[in-house]
Amino acid sequence: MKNKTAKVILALVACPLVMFGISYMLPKRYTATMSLMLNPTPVAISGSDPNGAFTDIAMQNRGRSIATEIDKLTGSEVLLGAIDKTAASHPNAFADSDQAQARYDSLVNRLRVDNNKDSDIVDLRVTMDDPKLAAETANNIGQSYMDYNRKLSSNNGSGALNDIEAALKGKQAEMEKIDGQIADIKTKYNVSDSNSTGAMQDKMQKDTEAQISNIQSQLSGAQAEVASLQGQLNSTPQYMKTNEDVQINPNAVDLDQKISQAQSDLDAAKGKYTDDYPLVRQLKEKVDSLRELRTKTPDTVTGRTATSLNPNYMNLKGSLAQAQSHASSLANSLGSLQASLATMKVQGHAYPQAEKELSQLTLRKQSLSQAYATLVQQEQGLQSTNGMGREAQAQIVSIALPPGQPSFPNPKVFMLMGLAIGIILSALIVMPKAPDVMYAPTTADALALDSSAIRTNASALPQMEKEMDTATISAIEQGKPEQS
Amino acid sequence: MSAVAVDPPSQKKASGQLNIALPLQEKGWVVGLFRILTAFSAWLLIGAHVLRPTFKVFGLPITFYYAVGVICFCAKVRGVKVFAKTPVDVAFVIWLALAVISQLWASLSLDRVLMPDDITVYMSIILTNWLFFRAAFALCAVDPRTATGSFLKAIVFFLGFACLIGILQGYGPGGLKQWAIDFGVKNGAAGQVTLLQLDMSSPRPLALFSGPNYYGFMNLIAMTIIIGMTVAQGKNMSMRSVWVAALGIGLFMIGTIVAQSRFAIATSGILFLYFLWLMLKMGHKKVFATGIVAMGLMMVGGLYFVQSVGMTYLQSTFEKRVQDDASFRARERGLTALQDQAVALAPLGAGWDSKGYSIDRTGDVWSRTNSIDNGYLQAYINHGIPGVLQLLFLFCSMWWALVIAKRHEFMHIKMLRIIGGMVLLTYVFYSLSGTRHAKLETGIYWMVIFGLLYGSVYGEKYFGEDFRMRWRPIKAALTGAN
Repeated sequence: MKNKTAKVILALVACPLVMFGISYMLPKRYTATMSLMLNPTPVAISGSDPNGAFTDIAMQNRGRSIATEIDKLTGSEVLLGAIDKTAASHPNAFADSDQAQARYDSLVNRLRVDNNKDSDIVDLRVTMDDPKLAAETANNIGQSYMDYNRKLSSNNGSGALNDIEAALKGKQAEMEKIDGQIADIKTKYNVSDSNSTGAMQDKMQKDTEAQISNIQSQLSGAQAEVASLQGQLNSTPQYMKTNEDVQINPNAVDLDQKISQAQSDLDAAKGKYTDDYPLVRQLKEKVDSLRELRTKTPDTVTGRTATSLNPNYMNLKGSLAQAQSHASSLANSLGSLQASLATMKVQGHAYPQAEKELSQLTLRKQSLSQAYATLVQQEQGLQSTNGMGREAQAQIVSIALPPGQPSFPNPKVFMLMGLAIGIILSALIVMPKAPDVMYAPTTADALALDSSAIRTNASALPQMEKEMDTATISAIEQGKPEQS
Repeated sequence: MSAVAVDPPSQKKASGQLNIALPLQEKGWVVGLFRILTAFSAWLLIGAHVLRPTFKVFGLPITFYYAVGVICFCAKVRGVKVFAKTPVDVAFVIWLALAVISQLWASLSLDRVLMPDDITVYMSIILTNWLFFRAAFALCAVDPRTATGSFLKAIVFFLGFACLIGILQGYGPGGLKQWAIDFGVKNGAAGQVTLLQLDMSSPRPLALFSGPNYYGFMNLIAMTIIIGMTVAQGKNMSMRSVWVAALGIGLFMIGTIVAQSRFAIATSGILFLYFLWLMLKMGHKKVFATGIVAMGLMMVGGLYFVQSVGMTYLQSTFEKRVQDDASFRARERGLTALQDQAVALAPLGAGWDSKGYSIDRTGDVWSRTNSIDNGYLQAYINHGIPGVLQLLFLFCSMWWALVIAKRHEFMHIKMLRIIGGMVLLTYVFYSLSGTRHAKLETGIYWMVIFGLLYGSVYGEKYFGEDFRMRWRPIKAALTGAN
């Protein structure tokens, strides 16, 4: 056991030391780290922005996420740019195309960009054989990335500026065309300001209509008054009786006497004869005839009547003439107003059409003016940056310095690897090759089988233990338990 | 040899007769103490792993040190036998060797610039996993039944607690929800992610783990243990235990659905059907019928719960095409990159990179395979073809434990065999959708289960009935009975 412990200790100490030694024999690589702060804020272009297309072009080089920027950072444009910059200051390192190609391949393979999810800073690690070259290349990658962004924004900005200028010209021409159309309409309808003219016309028409309505109602009232006065005049007598002399009608007295005489004759005849007797019937008819005639004869008769002109009649006649005159006057006014209204309507029909055409043109012109103003603003913004679009923001927050220690082979890592190898070896040493040997029962195990104290011959125990070991091993090797 | 083995017998008489007193560690109260310490060790390891996943000392998880301590304690009790070699150890040795060789290969041959902490983190993962295996094995050497019971109960208890925390985080009432969120943020493996996930329109709780899929996977582990503990009783399976199992499975199934992990939900369904089949096969019909009723009730309760809460994310994944799924697209990108790099990676891979499992594509050209989320392909990316072979060997070493366990009819071995079978299948199946063996958070559970299984099987092989049978005549001779 002590032997094994010593081997384990040796393995755990020697392996890391050996690996530590190896780490100094391998060719060294140096990793320079440069930190770059990126701005991944996405470009938000409003859907209602009429110039969204230009904004999009001007900001096209901005990535929507850190991952996009990292892809740009590791793209060939940036890396080749960085190599060019490094080659300028280290011509020997890129003496020929083969060497340059090898450097480029090595740079791509060994380039590492790490970003923490919660941070806008990315760490760019360049690993090369020369620490100074590595540091310079790392810094040049950052610089090249920013140059690339500038180039992109310049391209996009110039493109956007050209597009804006073309759009401004187009809008200018369109606005001039609209102005011409407006002038034509004003001339056609003879209005300086269609809006105010139309409004006044509307008011006059409405006033006339109100007047007509009022006069119509007055005329109706006057006509009703004329009709009423005419009716009263018709029912009023022109003359009136001033005196009348009344006497008893002599024809009525005579008839009464005749009726009385005939009735007496009838009554006498009825006393002698039946009702069907001709005399009776004759008398009865005579009485009826006389009575009928009596009913038609007035009791009295007028002897003499005196008459004079009725003053009421004369008054009514005067009023009627006055009312007829008023009604006639109102009818004349109404006719005049209705004629005016008809003229107004004919004249006013042209104004809405002019207004409609003019309002459409005015609205279009306003919209164009607004778009024009926004474009002018964008143009001024781009002109102020000398035609550069909005650049993807990046800033080197920590420049790469030539590392003092090699990143590979890292002695600490190699020692840890050595420790792992030591653990592997230790496991192989400690763990018994044949478990059966390890599990050969010991005295302590034997004692564990029985809780009671065991007394035996002291000299027999070691021998028995040995025999037991042998028996157990052989039994297990044969794959069957030893039977008693 | 251990101190126990080298203890000389006390010589009380000089008459040639040796009076062998009972060693201290075999005395009743000492055995009791050892059992208590065994159980305590198991609960400590699992508890620290679940409740203190981010607590590290010198860059290593606290459980690393606990496991070393436990192994030392067991070695003191049982001697060097706690270090007995198993095929799993061989797999770990190969794994460690590959970690070193792949790192060197990537640096020298592929020109890769790996960060210094890549190898240290990877080694801490491998070693801690291995130590969990060894600790479970060692505790079994002290007392297999106590170790088995304690570990299994500790896993179910702590994962059950975590499951409850997850359900409360998503759909807890009022104050309890806030408490569960705060608890997850403070004690979980990824506090900030916990807040992020719960802030979404359809919350996907993490419980105490670093992702909803991990939460779903842990629930599967707990389900396999409950199923194994129940069906291992065979004909003795009681109705009470069936009801308890139904409650436990119901809780973990709800947790799995709440996590909205499709793969976990599918696997839990398979486990559930397997459980019913095992009950039908092993138990009495009456118990099976009770089980059906219990499970049915749990399912109805679970469905009622699911209907009462919003599962927008899960629903959306079924409504969308597979190609529209962000997770699918991330895998697809990783796979495309792997196709480009496959030839270069074949000999020994590109080494282990601490960001290799994330969807974060920063790093170097070899990081384009990130987020491939497949255990087998990840092994290929890290170690090339040898890595895949090593993973298969790891699976086979586990499977071998199931084979040799078949010889024993002891209750705890039978139980561990059933659990081990399901856990192994879960890992093999789940590795298609994620890496589970090379992540400490998920890797330790099968290490514990198979450490217990190997420990119990080896213990029974060398200290069990066979061993007692062989010792009987010697003991008789020693005691002078014959």
